[in-house]
Amino acid sequence: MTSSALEQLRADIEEFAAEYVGNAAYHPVLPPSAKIIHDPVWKTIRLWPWEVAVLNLPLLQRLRQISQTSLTNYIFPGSTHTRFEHTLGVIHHAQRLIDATNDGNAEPFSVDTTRNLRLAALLHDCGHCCFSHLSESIYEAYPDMRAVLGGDEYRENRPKGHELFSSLIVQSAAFRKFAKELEARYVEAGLKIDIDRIANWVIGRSLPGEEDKVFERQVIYGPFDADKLDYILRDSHYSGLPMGLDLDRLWAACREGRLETGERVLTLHQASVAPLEQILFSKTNLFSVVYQHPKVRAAERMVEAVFEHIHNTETEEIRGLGKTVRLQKASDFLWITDDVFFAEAIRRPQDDPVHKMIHAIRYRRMLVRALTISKDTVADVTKYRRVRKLNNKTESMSEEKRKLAALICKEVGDDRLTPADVWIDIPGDPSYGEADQTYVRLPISSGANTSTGKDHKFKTLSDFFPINYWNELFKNHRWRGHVFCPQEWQQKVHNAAVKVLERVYGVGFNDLAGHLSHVPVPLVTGDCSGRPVADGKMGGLVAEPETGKALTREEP
Amino acid sequence: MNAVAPDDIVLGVLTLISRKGTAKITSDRRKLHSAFLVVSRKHPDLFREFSFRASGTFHESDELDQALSNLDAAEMIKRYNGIARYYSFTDDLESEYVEYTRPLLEKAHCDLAAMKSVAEELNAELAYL
Repeated sequence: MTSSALEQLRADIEEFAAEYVGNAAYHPVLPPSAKIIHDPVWKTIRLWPWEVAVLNLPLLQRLRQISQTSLTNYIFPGSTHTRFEHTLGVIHHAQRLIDATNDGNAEPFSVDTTRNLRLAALLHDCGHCCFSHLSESIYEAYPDMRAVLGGDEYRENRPKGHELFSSLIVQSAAFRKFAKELEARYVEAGLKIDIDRIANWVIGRSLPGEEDKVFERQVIYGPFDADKLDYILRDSHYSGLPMGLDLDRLWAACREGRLETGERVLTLHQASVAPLEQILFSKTNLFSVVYQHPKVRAAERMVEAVFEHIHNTETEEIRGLGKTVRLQKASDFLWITDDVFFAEAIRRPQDDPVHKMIHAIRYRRMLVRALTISKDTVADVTKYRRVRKLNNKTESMSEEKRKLAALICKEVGDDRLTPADVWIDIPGDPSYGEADQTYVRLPISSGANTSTGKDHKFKTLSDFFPINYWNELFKNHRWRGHVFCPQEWQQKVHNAAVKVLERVYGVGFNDLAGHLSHVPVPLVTGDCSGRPVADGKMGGLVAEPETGKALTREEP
Repeated sequence: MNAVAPDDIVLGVLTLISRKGTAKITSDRRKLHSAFLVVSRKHPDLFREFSFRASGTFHESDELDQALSNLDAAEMIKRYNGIARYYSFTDDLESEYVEYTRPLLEKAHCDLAAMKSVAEELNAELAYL
């Protein structure tokens, strides 16, 4: 099943790549010289001619129609930047990281490696689909994608869905053929495109035999990689959040170093960790203010409702660019960009459900909050976890959220309200794993004992500033989960959601849960300390249906 | 409803560690994730919802990060120590396991004997002394 799932996915990717890379009708003339592109964030970005050729492919041009941050522009109007601009920023920062590292010691990045890393930067997001990570969160739950990601090839180093797509596109026959054409055209420059290295780097792997060269893949897949350096600054800039960042100090401090384990990694000097502190702090702010803004999350659930409707309706399909798809396979999403999604409404009559759902997004008739779930709004913080665990990105938790929506609709008891209108949204927490993967150089006499290089000792970045406490504060005071619904159903859905969540998980809510959602009359369910509650349920645990008794609690 | 999530597995394992009299385990991510990687390979059924990424210098699991974060948010484990070097267990961890998680795991036919063996191994590896 697993290997056949991968074979099927490869076949689907070949079909996509044949259209977006191999279709001669769209082939650009290979440019004779380098080009300079002006970017509002990083100013001058220089591209080699073969990079311009890749950029000119429909594969990369389609990224102009994929927003970098899904639907944040409906809340932060300036946030209209796309994956295309981000891609240019990543190639720019890849070169800065390489130059900075080469400047410091024995030039660990060769010309060939540099060229291929730049191509990897250019291609790292080519597998993104409509609304970027939003569609990714949907198709990653599809059985075919789960089978591939859980299979032998990727189990030990599980990539994200779009990374897998990017890697497979680079390995496709169409792209290999195009790479050969580029090598032939730019033979005088000695261009050698290493498909396998690029395909591995974009999923954070090195080729067999090159595992110790962690620093190479870290340029595009590391704790302070070119991707992160661009997206944090770019997302802040376009969303209007002011942010200061001393990147020059970062470049000045970047070196390659060897750990005790023999791995060669990118490192920073102890005196220059401040820029990374700024980056991680800004990441927290972006999560709190932009990515997890309630209206952004509501808009994303509305898009999810459209995809769920098409996926679950046998007669439905969506007209992608080059192929009409039914959204039954993860790779179907590759054919859809944001503009294609919105255009789908235009070709349908006004009374069509998909037309209505898409136009509700287009004209910003957003779902509203019916319930706010947070540490401040629950009656019992222990039982809060039972709801919070819905942020696990597993198939069972995705299903459970939709079942809860159905239960809430049933509780409301009006056929006009359907589960497509009700969404349980429990965001994940930002990860700061990069702080434990970033190595900071200390003078040999400083007494550090984490890891010893030849000339330096290393500590990790998490030793230098209190990232754990930022995380605690974010979770305790800024994180919010919600139940969303149409405005006209807000009060009824609020009441129903409070009752359902108490019945299923035993969790009660105080009045803040309604007030924070602007519900006119909040419903309070205070005491839920494990005593029996209505409907034969016990402290949030569903009793055995046959006996009505609480489930057994014997020692394991 | 009430399906088992990676959270529940981690909650169960940590409770069984705490029952051994261990009050604290390390919060060093390298040690935590590496130790869970080892036990997940030995007990793939128990950890079937966990995935690990090897792009850095050690394997990392988003599911483990999120589970620890959720347990922390619900105050079942705490990291309020001067240098954030360890997680300490609170009484809520045990009570939640007894009241909610163990019945859930039993209902889902999770291998609790395997979980006990995982706890033995992780206790030796992660206990913060």
